[in-house]
Amino acid sequence: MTPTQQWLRAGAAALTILAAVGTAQAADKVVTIWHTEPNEATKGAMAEIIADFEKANPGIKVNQEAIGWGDLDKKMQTALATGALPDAVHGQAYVERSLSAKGLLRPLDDVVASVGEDDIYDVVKKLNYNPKDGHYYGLAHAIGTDVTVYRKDFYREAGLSVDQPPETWAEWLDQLKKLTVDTDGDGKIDRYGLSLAGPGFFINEDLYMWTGSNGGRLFDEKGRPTFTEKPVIEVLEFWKELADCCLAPDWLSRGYLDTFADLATGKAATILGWGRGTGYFEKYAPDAVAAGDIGVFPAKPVGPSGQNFLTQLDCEPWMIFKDGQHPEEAAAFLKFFYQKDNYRKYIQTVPVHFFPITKSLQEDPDYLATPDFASWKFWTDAQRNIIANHEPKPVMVTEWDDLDLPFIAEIAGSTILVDMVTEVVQGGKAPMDAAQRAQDRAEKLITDLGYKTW
Amino acid sequence: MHDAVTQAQTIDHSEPLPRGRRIPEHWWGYVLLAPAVILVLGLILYPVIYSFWISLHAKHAYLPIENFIGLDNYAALLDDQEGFWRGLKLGAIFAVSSVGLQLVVGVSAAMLLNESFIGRTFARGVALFPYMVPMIVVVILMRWIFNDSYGVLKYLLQASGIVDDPIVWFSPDNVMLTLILVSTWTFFPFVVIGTLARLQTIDPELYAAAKVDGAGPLRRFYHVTLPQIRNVLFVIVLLRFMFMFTKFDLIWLFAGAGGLGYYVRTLPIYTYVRTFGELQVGAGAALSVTLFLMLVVFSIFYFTIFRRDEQL
Repeated sequence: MTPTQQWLRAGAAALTILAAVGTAQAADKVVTIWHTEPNEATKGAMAEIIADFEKANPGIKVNQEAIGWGDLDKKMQTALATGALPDAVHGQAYVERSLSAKGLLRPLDDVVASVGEDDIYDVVKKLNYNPKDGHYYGLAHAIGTDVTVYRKDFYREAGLSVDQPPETWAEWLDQLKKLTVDTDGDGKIDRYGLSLAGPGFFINEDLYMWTGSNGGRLFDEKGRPTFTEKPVIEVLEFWKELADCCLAPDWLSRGYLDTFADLATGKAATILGWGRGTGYFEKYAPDAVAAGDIGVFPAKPVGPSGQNFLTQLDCEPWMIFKDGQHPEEAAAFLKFFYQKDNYRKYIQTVPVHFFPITKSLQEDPDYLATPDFASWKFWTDAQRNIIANHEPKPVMVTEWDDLDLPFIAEIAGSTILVDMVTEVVQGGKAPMDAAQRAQDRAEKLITDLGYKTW
Repeated sequence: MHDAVTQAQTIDHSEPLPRGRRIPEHWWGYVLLAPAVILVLGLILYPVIYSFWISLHAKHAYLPIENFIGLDNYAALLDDQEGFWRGLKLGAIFAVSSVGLQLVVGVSAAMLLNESFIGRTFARGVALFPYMVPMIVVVILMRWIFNDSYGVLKYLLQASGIVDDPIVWFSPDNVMLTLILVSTWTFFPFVVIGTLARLQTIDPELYAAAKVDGAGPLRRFYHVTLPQIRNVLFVIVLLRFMFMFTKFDLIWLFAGAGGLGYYVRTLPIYTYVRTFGELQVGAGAALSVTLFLMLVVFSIFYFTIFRRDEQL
């Protein structure tokens, strides 16, 4: 056989193998899922769940793609614009309602039924159930709440109670002033009462939570912005006072993780944060953790016009695109994902941050035996109290019907609210002037988008 | 035999092709140019034209909303004091200040590196280092260095007695200055490279003659060096201004769009917010086309001034 003939035979053999592999692959239905948990532990748990699912469902393959939370919206935009949709995806709650209103999502009633509707926390059902057509279009992969995290040792030093959360903003301000101190006697403040994250998203978060805690909302029942109304103006006044007395001068440049570093290193006495940060404290403030000096308040203070506090519910839902490649197979996978053992495996990868959506898992002995709970059960207990009794709501949503507003993503993505706060808190602008400008900008944006209904 | 073949080839070439199959000589030029022209049209002109087309629409980023509105997006910019005009002003402050400092530092460093001293080659390599560092690394490094609690800059300034209280570099009042300083550090090697290359080609006899005429270092710089590097500086200023005026990554990574970013929200950042934050692709395209046209006008103006000066 000549070398040329040998090459030809080898080529033919390779082509035959490739064709065979291609045929085998074509026989599989490949379900693509995007989720927002790129940490290795969660990706590993997902990989195990997927492997078990594929074993139980020959002919279906599941590809997971873990996307940084901050990149999800952009990737979704591109997918929607180009039609290259995944089958199942995590998203923001307001995105779910917007997409379902456009008829892009497959109802998940069967997935909810498989989990057990009665077993799911009410806030999750309110979030994912669309009363207009009586369907669920999403189901949170896990939930969690924003809580007030504080250093008990600093509170004790300041003569403050470590068990009683402040009930009003006035009381909270008094506490934070006492916690803003010069610790080394050089006449300069080196510990601030509170550390807030400065990027726009976090300012939006604080603004809507405090507005809700002050008896207000960001949009009225017709969708018109309400930025110039008393509850929002009072939030701006409160924020200004807070910045003047108790926030570091560079608070606008503090990232979310910087605030955890501030609490861990003693630069701040209080922060607003999520359960994922516990690992941060274990790494950078092991002594404080060992001494039990990290605390979480199970409630937040209310403003002068408010009766109940509002805090944020972290609740990214799974959604399935109706026009994805394999929506039914994606639904089958989600049913498998929520099966008790699989779901527990997933939840236990970030146990303090991932609060399960099902009540039954809360009583599960294997779940309760999660090792992290030895140190951090108080954090989960605080979340349980808030979820069961205080109706936390997703970002930018002060009333449940805000979920139906089609322009929440655009307002959240704009700098309108952030500028309003910055102009007052840092720029010294009168709250009403800044609010009026924000109101005008928001009304114009909503009008430009074609969503004006008032 | 060889002569016969040569003769035959000569005869073949001299014979005209049949009329219908003949390709005129000059067409070959077009054919050979075609790939490059198609590439330029496809990769440069098409996006510009498409951006302009999009800018004539009220177009959502991903929902199927697209209405032709003519020049309304451009008209809206004229009234957009806080977004467009403020962004233009902040961008001009950032670009002019940064380019000015880059020139001063870059030309000074180039002149120093043009002198003979031990370790010159090493120093030249070190001088180029900032330009090679990825932007995200620069931002992380500078966030540490400029930190008002534990940054090395705070330590140096206080230890040397220059300041008593630490400067909060990332406060609303200082963030623009901080970004200008960081961008100067990052991009001055670009000026060094161009200037140093030109300095090395200046005839030493010019300096010798100037010395004989009694010119000191400053006068030698003004009357010999500066005229010699003038053409290079012209190109450097043009390029650096365009790069800095459209700078996105440095500002975005340091400050984002909101909060601290409010104080450095230049036009590229504002364009991003309009396009990907507010999901108004049409309005964002109008901003980017305007930015593009401003740079074209600036370049034409700049070239005109330079040519006029050349003729004087």
